[in-house]
Amino acid sequence: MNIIITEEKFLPHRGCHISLVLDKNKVNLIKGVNGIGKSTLASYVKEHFFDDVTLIEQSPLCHFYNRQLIDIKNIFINARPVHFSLESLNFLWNVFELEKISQHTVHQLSGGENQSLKLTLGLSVKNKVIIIDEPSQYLDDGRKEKLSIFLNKLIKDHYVVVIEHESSWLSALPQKSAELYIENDILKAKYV
Amino acid sequence: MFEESVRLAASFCAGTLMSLMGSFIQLRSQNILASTSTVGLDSLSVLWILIFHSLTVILGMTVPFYGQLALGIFIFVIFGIYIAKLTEKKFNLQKLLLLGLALNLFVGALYSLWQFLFLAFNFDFPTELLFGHFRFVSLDELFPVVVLLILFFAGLKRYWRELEIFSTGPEITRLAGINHQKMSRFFLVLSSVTIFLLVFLFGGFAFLGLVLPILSRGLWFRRFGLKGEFVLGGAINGVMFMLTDLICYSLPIAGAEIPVGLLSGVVGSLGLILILRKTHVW
Repeated sequence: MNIIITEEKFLPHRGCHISLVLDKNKVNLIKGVNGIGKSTLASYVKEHFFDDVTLIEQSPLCHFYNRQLIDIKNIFINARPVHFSLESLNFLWNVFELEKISQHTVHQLSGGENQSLKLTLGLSVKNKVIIIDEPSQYLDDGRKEKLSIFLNKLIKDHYVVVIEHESSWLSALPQKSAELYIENDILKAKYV
Repeated sequence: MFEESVRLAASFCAGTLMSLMGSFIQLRSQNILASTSTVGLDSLSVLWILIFHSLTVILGMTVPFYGQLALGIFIFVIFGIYIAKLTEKKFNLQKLLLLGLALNLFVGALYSLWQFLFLAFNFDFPTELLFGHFRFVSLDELFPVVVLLILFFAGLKRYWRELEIFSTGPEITRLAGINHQKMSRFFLVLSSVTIFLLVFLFGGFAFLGLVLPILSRGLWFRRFGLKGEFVLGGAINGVMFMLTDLICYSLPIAGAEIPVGLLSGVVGSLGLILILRKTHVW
């Protein structure tokens, strides 16, 4: 699957000329130095291919209404997202041990628990393309390993894009890596 | 008895509408300081009514009640659509709140200046625009607010799924792939029209749209969820507002009825100070 982005304005750069060739059965890694525009690129792809893309963002879940996790889970199920898999949701819910803290409210969660909840909800919506922005942040080694096992199953039927600086925890999975770089203030990508 | 019943019904509808609007605006912005007052919608309504009144006085025109109503609704539908478009882009809520507060100060000062000039030149002036009341309410005033209340509840029924998922935060809403823009547009336009109608028909009720939803969230959300805040809380706030107006009606001071908007302004602004204190803003 090809994603071609040609934009004349792509802040903070003057433009963006990128052609991403995504493969199944591989983790499509996107790398680049801080501030180069990896997350902006992910948001752009989500915005322009809204119905085909699941984007799990880097920012933690916020909590204006301080609900218990179990309530959030039920509301998410009742929202009936397209391509939603209850099986995946329940699987990840158990794998990340969210049942133990299901009565906790969002503001009581640690960084790793918040990240686990976000991944559980996001990875249960199985769109054609699944982009995960820095999935390993705040996760301990055990959870990284469980996530890696789940991604190994996911890549068989979906285009999985992972934005990550440190990807050694994914070393057991087949990978294809694109590096973002700047040329004449234009954001570009090269496969390495 | 009939007139009193109409008055009770109007004050109930107004209280419930203010609670519902406030709940929606706070949910949409994910900020408890957002309300129709603090984002400047109340002031814009007052400003429009002042401009329209001035034009009719200067040009010597007489516009019938339903004509004024229709024109105001048209203007505030357009304004609601503009606000909705603005919020669909990345916008800075803090900036909007500051802008709203500046607008409140500007309109307050302009209102006093206008009042001075109009009274100095012996022109008719809407003196009770800032502090609303229900003293002369008839079926003509009751009918539009009942329609708005029905529309609000119809909107809640239609967009409940979107509203509930959005209440978990914009990140989760995006993860679920739910497009909330239609829902947001509907309620923002409805809120814009509602606030104009309340100010036009009864006058302003400052800060109630801010305090009432916080009250209903604090009292009913934990036990009954979002329905508790919107439906139960909205209805109870409506009854409370109706009873406050009834007290103003039943207990005149030195023979004069105190406008319920004046009382709510004092209680509301005090409530805002307490809320700011509780939320550790300073």
